[in-house]
Amino acid sequence: MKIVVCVKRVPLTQEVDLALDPEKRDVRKDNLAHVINEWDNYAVEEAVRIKEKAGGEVIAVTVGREEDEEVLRRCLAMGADSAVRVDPDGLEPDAFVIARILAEVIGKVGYDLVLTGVQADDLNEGAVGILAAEYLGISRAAVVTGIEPEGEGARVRVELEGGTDEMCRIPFPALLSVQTGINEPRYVSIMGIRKAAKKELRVVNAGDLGLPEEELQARTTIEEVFFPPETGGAEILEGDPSRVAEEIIRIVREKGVNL
Amino acid sequence: MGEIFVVVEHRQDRIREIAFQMLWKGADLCEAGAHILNAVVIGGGEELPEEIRDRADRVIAVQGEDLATFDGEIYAGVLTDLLAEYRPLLTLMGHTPWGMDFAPALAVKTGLPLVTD
Repeated sequence: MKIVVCVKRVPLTQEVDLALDPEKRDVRKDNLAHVINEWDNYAVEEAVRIKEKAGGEVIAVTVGREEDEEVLRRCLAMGADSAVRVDPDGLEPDAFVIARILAEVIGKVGYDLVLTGVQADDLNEGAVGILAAEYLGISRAAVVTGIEPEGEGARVRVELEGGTDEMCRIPFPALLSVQTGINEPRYVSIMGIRKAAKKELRVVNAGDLGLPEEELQARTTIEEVFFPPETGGAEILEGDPSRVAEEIIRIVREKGVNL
Repeated sequence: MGEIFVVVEHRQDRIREIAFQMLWKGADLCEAGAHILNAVVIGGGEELPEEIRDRADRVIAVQGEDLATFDGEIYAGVLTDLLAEYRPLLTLMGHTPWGMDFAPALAVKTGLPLVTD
């Protein structure tokens, strides 16, 4: 089975004081550490697990610049067999353009199954995977929490709201967007990344894919990025934890909750 | 003046809360721009359209055996036809597992832009 897994390198934004760039179009990222997008990490682990069980090949793909290759090296260390970086080649791609580029590369590489994360930690759009499936013209499922290959397809568990799950059968070729928690991603050591350095990492330019100009035009542009306005209504309780706890109980009771 | 679509999400023949929130927002936008609010109900029980009748200017209900429960690919096909017919200037869908499964597909089919979350 040939599995393509799409990944993205994202800035680490938790517990960091974020600043905006001078044009207010983005968050300043030059001072931030970067990691593999959390959802994608689960997708890579799932791809490698399916390969380990059923045999086959895993190919990791990203659309990004040279510094983004570090996440591909990490995928190779986790067990991917080869990797492709698509250089945006001066484009400023939105979700549509990224999905179009991915679909083109995935189609050329060949596949039975494509895995992506449900969303990326930076923009939280949750769109690229399903967009790519539509460009590829294949079956897909979003927010997947379980994959059991079975015959020429898979039994797939999809997370709905309120703790409800849905089981469905999906024929290959298919694209699944993977939810966090589907597995426990393996640890990647520096040694592992070094060992995987010999594996193939190909670079292609988005401009060389032969896509028509109009398909490389972004449909959305970010005009302004800003912090959420501060609103009132918050009461900060400070001091001794047991007194704080008592105060919380008093407020909750006062609001009419039966404890 | 134009049309605004709200795609009514339902599960097990019950309308989901997100649909009421979107209908409220849709009504708000319609009032500001003198647009027509359309509640679009694909599949679900026969009584669903009746339940939201008072919350929209028009209810468009599409029913059929294949539509009873949610299927992103089939629902996206139905909506593509409706969007071609009514040409709404805005379509609202929940950013839920439902919407995440078929809003992007719909954007590709129709060539329309998409903003999520």
